[in-house]
Amino acid sequence: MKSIDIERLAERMSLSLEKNEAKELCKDLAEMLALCGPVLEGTPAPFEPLFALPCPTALREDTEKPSFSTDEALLNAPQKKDGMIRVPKTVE
Amino acid sequence: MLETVIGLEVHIELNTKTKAFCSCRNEFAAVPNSLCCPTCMGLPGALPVLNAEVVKKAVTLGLLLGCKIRRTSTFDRKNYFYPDLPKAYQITQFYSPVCFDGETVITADKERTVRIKEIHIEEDAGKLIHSETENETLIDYNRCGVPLLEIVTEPDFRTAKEVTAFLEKLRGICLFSDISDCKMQEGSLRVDVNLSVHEKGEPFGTRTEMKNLKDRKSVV
Amino acid sequence: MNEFEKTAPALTDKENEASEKNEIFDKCLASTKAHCNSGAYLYYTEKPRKTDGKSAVSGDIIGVKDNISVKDMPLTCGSKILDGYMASYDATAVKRLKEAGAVIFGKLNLDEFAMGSSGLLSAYKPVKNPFCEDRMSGGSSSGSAVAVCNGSVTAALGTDTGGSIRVPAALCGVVGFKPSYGAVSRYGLTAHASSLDTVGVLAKSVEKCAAVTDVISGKDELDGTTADIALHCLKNLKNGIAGKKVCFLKDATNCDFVSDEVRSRVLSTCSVFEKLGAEVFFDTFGEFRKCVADYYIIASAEASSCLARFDGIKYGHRENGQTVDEVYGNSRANGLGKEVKRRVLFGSLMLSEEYYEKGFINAARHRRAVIDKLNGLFSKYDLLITPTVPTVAPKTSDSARMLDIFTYPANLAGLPAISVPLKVKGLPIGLQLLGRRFADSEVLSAGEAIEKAEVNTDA
Repeated sequence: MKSIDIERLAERMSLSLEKNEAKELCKDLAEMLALCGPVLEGTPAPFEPLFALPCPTALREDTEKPSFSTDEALLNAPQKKDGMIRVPKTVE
Repeated sequence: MLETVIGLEVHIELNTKTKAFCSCRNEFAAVPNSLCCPTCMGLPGALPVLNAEVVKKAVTLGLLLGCKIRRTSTFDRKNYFYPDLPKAYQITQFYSPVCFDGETVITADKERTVRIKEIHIEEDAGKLIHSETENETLIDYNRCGVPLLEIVTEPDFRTAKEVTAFLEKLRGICLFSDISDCKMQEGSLRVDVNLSVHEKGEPFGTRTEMKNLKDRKSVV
Repeated sequence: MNEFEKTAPALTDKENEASEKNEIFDKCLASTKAHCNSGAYLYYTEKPRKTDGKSAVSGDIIGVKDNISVKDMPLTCGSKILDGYMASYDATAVKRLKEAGAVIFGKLNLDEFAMGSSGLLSAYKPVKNPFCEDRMSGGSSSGSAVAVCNGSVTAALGTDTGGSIRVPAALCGVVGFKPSYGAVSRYGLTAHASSLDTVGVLAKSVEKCAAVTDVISGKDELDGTTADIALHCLKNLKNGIAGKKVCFLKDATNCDFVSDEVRSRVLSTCSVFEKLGAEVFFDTFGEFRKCVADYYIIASAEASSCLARFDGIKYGHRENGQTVDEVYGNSRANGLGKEVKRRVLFGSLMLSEEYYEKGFINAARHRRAVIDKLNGLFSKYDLLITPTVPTVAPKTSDSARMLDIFTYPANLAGLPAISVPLKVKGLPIGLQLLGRRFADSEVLSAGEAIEKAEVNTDA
């Protein structure tokens, strides 16, 4: 079986994994691949894919409702300054 | 003979009263983080519900640019991590944009038909303010969820003049039909230019992308 | 003992006056304290707020699974990454219960981000099976099942993405009801897999489940996937099952890894159904094994997107870093548990170029095949029957991977499903009934009929 590029997946999911942890997770993913074998390796079902159960289109009126106050919005912010969330400088 | 081939991706901010997927006020330059709610802030458990007025304006613009309108149009998530994106995905339309296959005629040095590949609805991200002096960036989520229409043209432009003519026509349509105020300096009109150069008669050259041009001069 | 009690904002004097001495509440509080080692509670309030609503749930003491937002109470989702997070709004289901006069008692423990079926995967503490401490309580609504079982709440809100209400209900001997997808608003439910997640209820009786479902269900303008359908669960509760066509799924009851005691107990209900006037049939579903794959592929793929917002930036636990990327990477690596990481990485793998077509797309194709198969069965029968779980509660050292095998189809198809406890001498056994989409009251009334018949059975 082709080996899993765990580093690439972890990067995509923004997970900074330790080497040992990455190795273990790689094994776990292989187990999950085996568990999903019946669909991964089986003949595709002769149906169009279904991504969401049918439900009516929901549209909303363009009417304003109250927003959070700045304090409420930043209630759980780990770091804040001047009414905004603070993070290390993001290089464009 | 060398020829320049240009296509545009234009984002316009709609002038609806509320945001695309929540009922927060859609307003420019308010107090930071004062126009937020669970949905546009990406709090756990919050859900989006589409603003009917956004659909109306999208279809209006589509018809005025000669587009076909999709009977069933869906939304998709564009997943990536960036501090101005609270849900770590942008709700956009990738597979079935609401308007497609349109065209409009512009006049620069001569008449040119510009084909509109698609117009789709998506939500805007927040605003980042980078510090000059410290290792910090501050985030304002007011703009999160503001409704955008992205207009994608085919690479039908051949000169900068034509691009300007198109943007002026687009702006005129948006003002006249009350869709957007299209003010580049306020960010309600943003232009990405895709450009390549080739020998006339030969296949198109390598495409270069210039993103988020801030004013008319940059575009030209 | 409430070791995680992050006190809610103190009640004002006015609210203190209004806060009533409530006998039922006191009983529940006493039970919670008596069962403080169960691991069921992450937070509870000792000061009930008086409510005015008059309904079938007035005065009911409700526990809420801690992935559902209750204003001014903590919301952890059983994860370290939300340690300290205070919810700033009520989920719609919670709002409706409050308006109907119920009292929200506290937040119930769960497997982290509703991923798991053992009850052992909370980042805070494991949940213990009330019948036997070295056995699983089931999950992910582990705290909900245990709190109902030990009497510390009248009913509990749970969530069910692949069986997370029905499995712990079965292993703890209580009723667990998963409504149809679209019947109950998901506004306020931390998304695990948006196309599978359902808010539902656990209680000691089917009647209480019906009462709560009536209150929490119905169209919500804040959730575009809710249907404009009134379920009338209580109204139809006593309809019984005379004349109904009830079908036991042979590939569930005869399945290899269903234990003999579960098989025989479940099949013994055939005669009960017949006595109640139902016609009993046997048929095959044929897709259980593939549904396991569908679930893991679809739920993991959706979860990899739904959980991306937990990044340490705007709320929750933040690990420091020199760059924003480091903040993301460290916060998520330290804040998310092992099973969550597995699922999120697996989901990303299923959406990657190599596996997109044969993984994500094929699972989505098979999902439609499953719905088609179930529609075929429902063209012949009114209710489908399986054991809820293949065995009694496994030991905590065993694997929980196959516990949900019979519960996945209801999530893939959005169907209503209930687990009703059967009368047994040993560890609990649950009977699962599935109905057509939006036939929630039919499923509940069938459950009620079985429940009442069971009372009179010699176990």
